[in-house]
Amino acid sequence: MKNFLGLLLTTVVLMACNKKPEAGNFTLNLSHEVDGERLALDNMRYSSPAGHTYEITKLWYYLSDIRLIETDGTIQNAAEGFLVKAEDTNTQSISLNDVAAGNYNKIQFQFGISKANNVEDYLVATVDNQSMFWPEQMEAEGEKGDYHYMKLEGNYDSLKTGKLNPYIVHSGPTNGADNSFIIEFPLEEFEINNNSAELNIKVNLKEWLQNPTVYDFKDWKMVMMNQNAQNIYKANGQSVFSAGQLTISEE
Amino acid sequence: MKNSFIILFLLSFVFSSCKKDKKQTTAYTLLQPYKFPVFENDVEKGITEEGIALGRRLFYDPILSGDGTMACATCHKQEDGFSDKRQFSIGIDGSVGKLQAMPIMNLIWNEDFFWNGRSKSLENQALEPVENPIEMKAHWNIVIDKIKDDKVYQEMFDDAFPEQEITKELAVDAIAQFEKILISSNSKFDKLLIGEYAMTEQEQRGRALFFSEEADCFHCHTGNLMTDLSFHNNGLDANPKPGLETVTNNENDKGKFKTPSLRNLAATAPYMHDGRFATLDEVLDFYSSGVQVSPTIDELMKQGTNGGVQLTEQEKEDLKAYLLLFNDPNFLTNPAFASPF
Repeated sequence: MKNFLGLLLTTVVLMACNKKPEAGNFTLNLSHEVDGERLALDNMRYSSPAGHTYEITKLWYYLSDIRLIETDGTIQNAAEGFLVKAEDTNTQSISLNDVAAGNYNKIQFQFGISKANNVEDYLVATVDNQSMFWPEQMEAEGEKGDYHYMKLEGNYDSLKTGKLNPYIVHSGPTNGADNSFIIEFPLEEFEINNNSAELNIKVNLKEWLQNPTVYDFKDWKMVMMNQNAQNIYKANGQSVFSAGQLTISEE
Repeated sequence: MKNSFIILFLLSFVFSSCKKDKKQTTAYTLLQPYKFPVFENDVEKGITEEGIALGRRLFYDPILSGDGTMACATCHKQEDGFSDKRQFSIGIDGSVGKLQAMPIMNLIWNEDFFWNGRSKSLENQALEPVENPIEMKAHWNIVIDKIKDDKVYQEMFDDAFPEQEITKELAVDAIAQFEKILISSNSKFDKLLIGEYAMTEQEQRGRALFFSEEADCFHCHTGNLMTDLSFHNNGLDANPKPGLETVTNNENDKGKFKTPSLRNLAATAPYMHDGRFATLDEVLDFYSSGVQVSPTIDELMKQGTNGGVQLTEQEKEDLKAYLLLFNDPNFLTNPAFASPF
């Protein structure tokens, strides 16, 4: 009897010690900035590296295939596309629920939608997703229409004439090319175990126009079928996103 | 004692049998057309057969107007894509409107109504014309009193909204239910998507133009609704009317009007928010060489400084051929959408 009680107590203690780790949540918070200032749409107040005063009237883009990577290299995927809209703060927090318990030290995500995923009907056919349609005739032969990666639009004021000029930066799969790219940030190791983690991401929009190539609006009028323009977006886009503070809060 | 109990039991049974059960409504199943956007925010919920029948009757009934001569359908005719062939609609006292009557189709996917987006729901939209002094020029309380005196409406309201008092809110709810089912999705374009139609060479050329960066129709007239449901200044005037600015009080929105759908284009003339173009040819001429630059002209009108996209006559004809694929004769003649009177 004494032995039985001892066994029971040991079992209870061991069970308590072996509590299974539980999934948690992870949120990306995006903040859009130009020149260190929070983005103000429809405001002719920014200076481009090419010497123009400019405004941003529209900014819609996709982030997709967000991967949280564990310290042992295990990748936790959220194979989805998220449409971010500068005018809608609800779209600027991307929450991943039920992230597997584990220790993480890296995050990756795709700017735009990868070639493998950018296919007809990849995303739920919402009105917004349909308005990001990339036409079939701008795809490779035999491929169907899919999605823009980004629509960045606005006006610039040519300093010489004072005249207002529109610019359009629409990136996507020109002739079927994969112009999307992966952004990766190493993170201080953190644990997901029945808790929530939030990572702030700064989106410095000026980088689209300057690093490494200065992008002059006046040189690029029609860009969807211009792979040279898309190459600039792909290269300049690498420095647009930067990781900020990571916050862990217990459930 | 025993007998009293039995009598009481029987009486209560009889009374409970006499008690009228609350009427049940019949949910209407709205099918999402192929390749159309999904229904968001439960907009398809709450539509009933009885609500549609009531809304349809109200839509076609001049009882909503001040002098009993004008219905919603007076300015929104089915054969015209539920729009008005006249540039401006005429009110009951001869007052002339200032904007083109907007077509009513596929509105269940919309969140902003009127050319300037001043209404945020179909129900709210339906409230306005009844009391508008240059339209139906009535008072809702008088209209509701007339409806309450009408035996047919008493029954139809009770069928659609059992045991509820007749109000203007229920009236516009019913009208909105009817308008939500006005879905146009059976054009040659839709048949093309399911392989039941093959484009002519001219239509193919038109399609190539439509989706080109040069002509660039597709950014605003996008998706299967043929509209981005947004607001743009498409360069009609050098000094545009306020449009969306009226609602937002933001000067950057001056001249922005809601993008109309291209569906049933052949039936919805005249065109633009003020109906200034009587024909599709005039519209194509405008986009080709009539564009006026103003401070809020849309970025997508990137050829605006050249006056437009400079189409050749052949290109205009090709584009027109493609645009006419969006006509849906079934929608324009569907008896379920026609007057019940």
